[in-house]
Amino acid sequence: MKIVRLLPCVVVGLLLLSSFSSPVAADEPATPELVDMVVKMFHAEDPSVRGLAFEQVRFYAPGQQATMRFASELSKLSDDAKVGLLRALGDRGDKAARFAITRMAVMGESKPVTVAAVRAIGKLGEPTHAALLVRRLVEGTPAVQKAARRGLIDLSGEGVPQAIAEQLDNVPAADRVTLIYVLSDRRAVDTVPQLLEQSQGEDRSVREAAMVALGWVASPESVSAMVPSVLADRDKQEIAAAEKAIMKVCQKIGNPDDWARPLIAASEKLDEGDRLRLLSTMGRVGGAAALAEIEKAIASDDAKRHEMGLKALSNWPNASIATRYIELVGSEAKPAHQLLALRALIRIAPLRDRRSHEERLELLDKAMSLATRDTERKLVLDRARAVRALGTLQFVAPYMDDATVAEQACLTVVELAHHRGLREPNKAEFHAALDKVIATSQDPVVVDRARRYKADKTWVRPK
Amino acid sequence: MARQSGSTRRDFIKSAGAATLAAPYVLTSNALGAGDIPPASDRIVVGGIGIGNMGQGDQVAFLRHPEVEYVAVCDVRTSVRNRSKRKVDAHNGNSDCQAYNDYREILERSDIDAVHVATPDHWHAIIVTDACRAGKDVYCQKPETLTLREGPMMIDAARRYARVVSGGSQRVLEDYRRIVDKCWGGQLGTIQEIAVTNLTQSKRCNLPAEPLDADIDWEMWLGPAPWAPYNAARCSGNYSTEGGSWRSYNDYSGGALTDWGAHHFGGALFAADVRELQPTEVIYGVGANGPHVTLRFSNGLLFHHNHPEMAHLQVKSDGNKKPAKAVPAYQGHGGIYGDFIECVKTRERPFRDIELAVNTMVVCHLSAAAYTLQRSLKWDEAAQEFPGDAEANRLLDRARREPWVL
Amino acid sequence: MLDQALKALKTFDWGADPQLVAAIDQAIVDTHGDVAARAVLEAKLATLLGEGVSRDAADYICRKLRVIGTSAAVPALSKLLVSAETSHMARFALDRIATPEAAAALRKALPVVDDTLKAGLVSSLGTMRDNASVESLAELLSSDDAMVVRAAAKALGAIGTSAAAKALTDSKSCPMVTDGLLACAEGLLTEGKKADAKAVYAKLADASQPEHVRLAAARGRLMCAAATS
Repeated sequence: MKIVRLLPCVVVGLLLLSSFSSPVAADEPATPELVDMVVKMFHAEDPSVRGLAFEQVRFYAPGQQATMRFASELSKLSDDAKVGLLRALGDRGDKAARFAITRMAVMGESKPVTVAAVRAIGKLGEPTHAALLVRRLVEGTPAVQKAARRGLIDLSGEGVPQAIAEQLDNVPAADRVTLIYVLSDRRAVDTVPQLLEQSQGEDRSVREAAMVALGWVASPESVSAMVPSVLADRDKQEIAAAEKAIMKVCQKIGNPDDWARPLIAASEKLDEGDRLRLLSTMGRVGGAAALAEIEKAIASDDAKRHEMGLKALSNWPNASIATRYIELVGSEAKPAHQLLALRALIRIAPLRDRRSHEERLELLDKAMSLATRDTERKLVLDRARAVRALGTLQFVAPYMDDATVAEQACLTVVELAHHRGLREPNKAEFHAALDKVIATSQDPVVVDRARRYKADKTWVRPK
Repeated sequence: MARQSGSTRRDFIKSAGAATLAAPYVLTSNALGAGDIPPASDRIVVGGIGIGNMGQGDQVAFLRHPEVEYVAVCDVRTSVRNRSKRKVDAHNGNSDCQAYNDYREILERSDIDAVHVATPDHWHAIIVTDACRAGKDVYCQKPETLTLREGPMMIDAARRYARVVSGGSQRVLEDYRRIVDKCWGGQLGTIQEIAVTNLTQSKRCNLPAEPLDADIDWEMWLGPAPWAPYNAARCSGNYSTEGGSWRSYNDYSGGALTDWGAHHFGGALFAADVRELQPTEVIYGVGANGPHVTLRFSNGLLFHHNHPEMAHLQVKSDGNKKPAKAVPAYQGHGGIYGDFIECVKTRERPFRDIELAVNTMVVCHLSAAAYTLQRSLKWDEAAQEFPGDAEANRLLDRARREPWVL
Repeated sequence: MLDQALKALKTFDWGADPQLVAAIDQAIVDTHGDVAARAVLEAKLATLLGEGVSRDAADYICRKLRVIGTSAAVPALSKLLVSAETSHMARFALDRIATPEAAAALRKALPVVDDTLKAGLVSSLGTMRDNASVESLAELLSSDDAMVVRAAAKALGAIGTSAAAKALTDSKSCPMVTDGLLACAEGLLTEGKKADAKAVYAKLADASQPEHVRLAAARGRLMCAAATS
């Protein structure tokens, strides 16, 4: 907080002074006649006329002198016109307007004016303006906060990410989360050390934000430093999110077979218990190296190690190990382990990849044949909606005659019918299936949807 | 609510609102705003032109915006416009939505601020420019143009009348975000090459005559396109680009090369940050898998279509890391439609400003010209022609069927 | 192959397999840069046009002449200009051939066609920016047919000279006349005739004009102010 609090007197003064070091616009300057006309139009009552003037400010009236003249007019305008001009000056990109804009961002004459000024600072400012924008983020109204966040993303110049990172410990947790996402949006690779530090902090929301940001920003070299987040004693959701972040970083390695290498390297420094726990992340990451480690665990005689291996394998990110799942459904002794493999098969079967619709459906069909409980059979029918093909309709439709899963089959049919691009070329097949839905389903929403699609009407999914 | 001398419709309503203390009965509760409905001074009166498949989707998107007062629909298919009117009436809770066969009737209405256009592509340029001449802001579905010459004319009309004209590819910002983030994130350094694959050109339609469907005004559907006998597959609005739909035939569409090109090319050009540029040349080649083209930009970027060794949206870069750039965002709320609505209010240029949309279309059309002529071509952006290439310049535009004028 | 394709054109009609004439498309690609071969191909296509082929075949030939046609094809094409069935496709070719002979053919057909076809001919003269047509186009601004007026106004705007601007200034106002005037003013400004352009904008800035026209005039005045000469 301390730096932020200093702003009004000292820092703003420095910011205003720095405005004079802006570059001179390169184009041939606008004629004085044009600048006079444009300035006059700023004062027009009609917003369309003002819009015409702002269009000139943005695109057609170059030159630093013109910028200074436009900016000097700011204080004389109505709030609406101020907002328009501030936005136009921001887009114009001539830093000669900084002085006037910074003043507006600091003085806060009215909400819309402050919002526009803060946004414009983002476009025209430099690293020293980061502190001002952070202050607006902490103290502003929601609209000003939103503008400050965007401003911090837009702010250009060497050292901006570090200037933002320096503020992390000076602001409350909620704002720290925002700043972390700003660094993420900026892909601020130089701030990985600070993000790693935040990922181990006390506040859960901050830790989670830091891991998400690291997912975007960190390189595979940072994986070992991210590993503690998946081993810590935290709840399942936080761990799963951390695993996904690590997965994202690992998958930045070009060769998929090497994706898990940073994790394997990290695991070598861990004790046996943590090494076992890290298998879950390896499963999520995928790749040949991970598979080898996980298979070693599955092959173990130790029951816990075996189970951890199976759980890790069930996290696999793609369909490349589908046959292994099928094998495990048949070979695992415990029903719970069989179910684990079957559910994983159902999850990966329809994933979109280079496989054809037929291949994806074939796996779902296989899963259906392996399912012994209605719960998994319904899951298969539910997942089938992800395969948008006529073949899926043909696969699902017969299950409308099976009372135990009919309702789910009806839902999948209308989900498929929802896609006009699939429905229209296969009208006859869909009409027949939708008639069956209307006759079978007990769900009034499903029946209504079926009727709508038959009549070529749309249905808006409730938010 | 006609526009009054010296003010916009919205200003006029604001003035009228000030007088409501004296004469409250002049205004409806809707005009003043009730509940979630903004007052009329903040509302944008919208009409839809071409409300079949894509137009229907656009209409739904506009109806979701509380600022929009949707009052008119236009389509040359009776069933489509009647269905669309019913939908709008149901949404508005009245029966006031007017249905038109001829777009000019919508444009003549002085109470309408903006129109969305989703006709087949051969109508886009005429309707968009006419709409600008009538003082309307326009949201035009992609592909915005059918010929190279249409683009500058649409931009001129938009600028001449200070209209907000947005192109209609929502995917440019939304679907390619991952590749955009990757390229703008700076970690790849300068993008040197980017590739897009597998988009085919439209062909001439020579389908036989079928008995005319009474539901469609055939002459109006054809409009500026060469006369041809009615055939249901010729004018079907389904999304195929390989036959059986207007998207497949070159009198009405550029085929997948423009229909999907508007998205794919638009996304790739955005990712490579050349959306404000046009190429300087298109290089034609034939590889193991058939013809391919490479478009060269003045900043050195090479943009490939069907490159024999590069995958879809594959990028090559110099690897010299540089600072991330902030990715431009939509204004307002509600994606590309909200962006357009916000810009109608602020009079700023939308994310998919017509000029940027046209730049994407130029890449599509230049590729098509090279495939058609089976050779490489130079492009002069300033002159908007193929320099010193009389034959290629023949492809810049095509005469429109009388009485239609662009 | 080419001869077979040309022969097929004699019976070509909607519903026929486009492959029957595909050799002609390929011949166009193959003869790029070969003036003599192109002339032969052009002559063969033009001759076919005069032999009473189907509407579809004429349509096909005009599309090809759009790419390879020269003044040599103008006589054959100009015969099609006066028929409602073929006028557009004749323009499809002539409008891109765009030689003085092509423009002359369009001007010659102007007095003998109905209003609908007239709008098309006028539109093509505008595309060619045919200065010699200004007088005829000016007369058409007083036509009873709104689409003819639109086409004439648009064409005069494209021609963009002081004479074109004067014709538009003197005519009854409508959106396309206004548009033509604005286009003329932009043309005049580009030519350095700032005072002439300003005069047009001043007229359109009048309070009686619709808002968007006044905005266009205001933008024009800004452009005039931006011009250094």
